[in-house]
Amino acid sequence: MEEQVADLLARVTELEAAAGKSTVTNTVLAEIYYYISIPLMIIIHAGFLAYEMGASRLKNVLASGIKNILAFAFMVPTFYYFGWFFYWYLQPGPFEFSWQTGIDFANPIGEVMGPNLADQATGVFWGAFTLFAATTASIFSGAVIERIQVAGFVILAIVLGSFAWVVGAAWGWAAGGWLVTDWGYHDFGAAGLVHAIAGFFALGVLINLGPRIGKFNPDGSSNDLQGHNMPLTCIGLMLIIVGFWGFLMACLIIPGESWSWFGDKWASIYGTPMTLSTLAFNILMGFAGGIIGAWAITRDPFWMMSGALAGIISCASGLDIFHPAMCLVIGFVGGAALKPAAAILEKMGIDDAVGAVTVHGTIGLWGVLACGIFASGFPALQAAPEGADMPTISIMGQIVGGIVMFLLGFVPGYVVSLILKMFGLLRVGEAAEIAGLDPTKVPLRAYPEGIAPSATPAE
Amino acid sequence: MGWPFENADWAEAFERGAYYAGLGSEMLWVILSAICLIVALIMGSMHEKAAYRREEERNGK
Repeated sequence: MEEQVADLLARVTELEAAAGKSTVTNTVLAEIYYYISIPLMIIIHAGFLAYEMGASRLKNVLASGIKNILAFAFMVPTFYYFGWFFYWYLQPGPFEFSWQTGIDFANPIGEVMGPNLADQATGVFWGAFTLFAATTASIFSGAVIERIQVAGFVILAIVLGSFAWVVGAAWGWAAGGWLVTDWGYHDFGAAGLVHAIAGFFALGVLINLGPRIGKFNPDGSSNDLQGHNMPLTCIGLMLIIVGFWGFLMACLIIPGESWSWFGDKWASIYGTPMTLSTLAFNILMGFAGGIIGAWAITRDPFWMMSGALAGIISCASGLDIFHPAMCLVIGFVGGAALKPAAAILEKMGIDDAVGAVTVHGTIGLWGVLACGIFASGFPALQAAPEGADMPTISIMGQIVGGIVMFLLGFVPGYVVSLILKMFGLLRVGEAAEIAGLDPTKVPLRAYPEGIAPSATPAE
Repeated sequence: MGWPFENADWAEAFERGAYYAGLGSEMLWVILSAICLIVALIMGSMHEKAAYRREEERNGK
């Protein structure tokens, strides 16, 4: 009997040790999962850098690059100082705040925001969110190339990346956010709270910034100011698509941790169950739908690659619950709508150099609405809030969310750029714009030996 | 500056959690780092304004 008890105890000890190892393995996997999403999302910035520089005329190539690089660099510290804090502090909103949660999770002068053996995860999550923030700034960056001052641009990027979209995330991308609990707002892949906010922020700025010299004629017609390197732009867009995998993988909550929603299932940020398999199906189908939709309408490689982004943004809100074939159709509509939507904007006298307002703003809103149209009735949370009914996804909830996202982007973009304009910090001087920003203020040349023209067949 | 605990072993770090190096306080370093950003932004803006002014002068405006 004693021997059997001893054997049993030995087995229990062995099992406990194995369970401990398994817990550590899961924790390490969880941390690495989000850690890897950071460099993957940096590929988005490599993509935006190539995209913007390719879309710039030869005289502005490096100035566009400098602006884009600085958007990334300034976003990191400002998101460290206050962006991350706002995400926690502004929940649940709109008039109710969580000071203590902000202090506990995101105080830059507290103990969690640095090397800490008792907290191995905060920096990883902060890093992933910082890259979301930097993505919003990069989206905005492309729209304003070739005529915005760098200092004014950096200030605007900080307002967008470390404040405006963070408000949207606190309200609509957290299980306790008021848009989710009161309206059942669902935006798994951030069509509204990243893309629409950034796109309409750009629109607000573009109204005050004005078009590039030569874009519009006195009779109101427009000229096509083509970038110097379309292949670079297309490669940039493809890199953004690669980086989207990091962006979207960071939207999931891994199972089995103390902060996880489930012990054995993946979940969205709202706690609703989902799978990685769903993500793989739907991301690829959405991309494909967008490319094909844009090709069907335009036959233009620039719009086809933008269509890939439009495809995934169209499906982003409901990416965790749509059927893959539905994603292709929703993405197709987004891709096909791109050029006509951009043309309407241009007719209104808005010079959006890379189509950011259309691709991210207009299509972001389409993505938010599509979730309400095609996924109405789905429970919006894992469990109903205490003393309340379970919120469900609805068209009305998505419309309310879409309006909020539009305002969170457009209003700060318009107001802050107006203030910068009043202080002379928004637009470059006319002579510099005509001469080109590279020869005016950049100490290097993009192509110091020039670009040789193609040889004719006779040569 | 340097090791933040009395004894040079890791036991206290395991107990306390945070173990980063620093002279003064976290607040000091946060402020210093923010000053770096602001100074860089002001210098960048001044350089930019001067470049635009030069271009205007070159064009006789």
